Amino acid sequence: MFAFIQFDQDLGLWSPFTFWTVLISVILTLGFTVVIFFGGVGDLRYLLRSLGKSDDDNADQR
Amino acid sequence: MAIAPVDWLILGAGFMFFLAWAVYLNFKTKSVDDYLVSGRKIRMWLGMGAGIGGEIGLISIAAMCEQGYRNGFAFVIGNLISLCIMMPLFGIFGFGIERFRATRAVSVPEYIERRFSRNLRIVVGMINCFAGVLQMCIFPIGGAIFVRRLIGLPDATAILGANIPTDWVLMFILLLCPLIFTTLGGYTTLMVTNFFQGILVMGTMTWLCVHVVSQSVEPAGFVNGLQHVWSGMEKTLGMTGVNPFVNDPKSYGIQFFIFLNVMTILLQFSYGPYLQQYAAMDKPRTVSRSYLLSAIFGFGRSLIIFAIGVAALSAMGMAMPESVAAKGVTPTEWGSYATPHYLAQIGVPAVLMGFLLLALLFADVAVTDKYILSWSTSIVNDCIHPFRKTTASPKQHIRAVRMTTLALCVIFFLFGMIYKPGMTIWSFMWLTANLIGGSGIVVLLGMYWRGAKTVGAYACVAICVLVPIADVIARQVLAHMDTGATLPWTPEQTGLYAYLAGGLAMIVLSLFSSEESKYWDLGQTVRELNKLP
Repeated sequence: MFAFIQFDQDLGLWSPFTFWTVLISVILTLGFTVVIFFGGVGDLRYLLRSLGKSDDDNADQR
Repeated sequence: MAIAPVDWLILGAGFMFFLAWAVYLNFKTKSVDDYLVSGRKIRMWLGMGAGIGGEIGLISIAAMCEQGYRNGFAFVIGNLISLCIMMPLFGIFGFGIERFRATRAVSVPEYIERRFSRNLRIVVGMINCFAGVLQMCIFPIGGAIFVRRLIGLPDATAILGANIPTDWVLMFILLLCPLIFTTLGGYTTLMVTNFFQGILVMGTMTWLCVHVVSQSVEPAGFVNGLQHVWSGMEKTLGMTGVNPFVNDPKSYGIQFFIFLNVMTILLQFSYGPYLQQYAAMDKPRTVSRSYLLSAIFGFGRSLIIFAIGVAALSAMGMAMPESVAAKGVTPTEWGSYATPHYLAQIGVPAVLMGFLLLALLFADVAVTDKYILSWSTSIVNDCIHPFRKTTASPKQHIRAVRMTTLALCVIFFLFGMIYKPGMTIWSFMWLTANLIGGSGIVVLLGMYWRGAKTVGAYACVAICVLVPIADVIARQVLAHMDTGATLPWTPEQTGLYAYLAGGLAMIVLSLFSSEESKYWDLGQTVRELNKLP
């Protein structure tokens, strides 16, 4: 199943390691994009409700 | 390359969608805080989505494609090592970035005034603004050149009977759009439009990547294309395509990665656009969580764009085609020319082309908006307001930021008119960022060390600015002497050792200074803020 691609044997493990790192990262990233989209829409609604209201975040005022 | 009516329709509808958001948010924006830091109401997911959009600019896309074409996926291993350092440091422990959010400062100089002195604030503000603006100068012209080559537009365009360079026309569009969006609603508009742009650019670049890989073989197919692209890269670059530390002049090298990591750490506390984004978040923990997820996400995001450059390398090899050389393109320029040239050769289908143009336009808007607003704010707050005798009203403040934004656009356009590529886009961007990194040491020591004093901070900033500039001048002098002599060290080594010397100078001089420290415990403030609902 995982042998759908052939690597240059002269490059040792560098080539397969890089290939799988790239592929797995890209797949995770795409899945994460969907999560960010739905999470972001929720946060956007919060932002729109909050805009223009007074700021009560004064705990760090010296 | 042909642009179908449906592509124009997608471009127009997308533009109207973003514009409608900007107009609506402008109506909702009331205070200076709303305009400059979104009223500090940005939560994690929105901040992350906007962060993605704000980091994938048209110029970054051009630079990543260029790196993919020149070095294959060699960057992957180095970046993976960086992730192992940065993710726990900033993403889990929130080192420095949580404390910066707790200072409630909008910019580095603002914090420096409170921790050190007003004069140091002005010096750092001016240096950072100068370096930041210089870095941004390449954005519009670099983006315009990339788009012209992608669409295959002629070098000159006839407008009202005059032949005007097409790059200037595109540059005008690429500056006008961010100007509209920055003026409408400021940072709030920026965060919201960048959020949608982040999703759009991810979808579009993935689609383009699949298309490019699939089209690399006959008959077209993704898995076969993947094999073809990978084997092509292995054959063309060999070990330098996958191992960044191999002993080869074309390889990145270990010194480069050490320098890159040190600078990445320091820029977290000194780079205006990053810090303005942190300042906009609702509490310190949001900053670190957002960093953690963005780091994981950003890694894969870059690789999708790198892959398009790698596909171009695999198909065309490293040699510049004679037809391109005949146009007067230099070998330095060819690296950035190759990917759009390849895309123009294989063609981009209708609909994808529309989304690509929209994504590229708003990639420019997203990044230019974020950076230009950040530097305009910094110029107004740190270079103009300290010299005013009276405090500006909120209206005057926002107007000053808008006028500065307009002035910067004019400067970028003028720079683009005389620009001639002399180094890779990445090198130019890192070189200018290097000048800013020194103030990161000052902020870092200021936040964590009670003994950090103003005299030490001055010495650190001076060393970190003067040494790299002296290095650049020395290299230019040697190059003009035509003797073939060069400095026996690399620019990255200069940057790295300048940081080291700057940090040491700050520590030693601070130890000898009798000045009373203005240190306050930010760790306590972080804990209090993180308890807020």
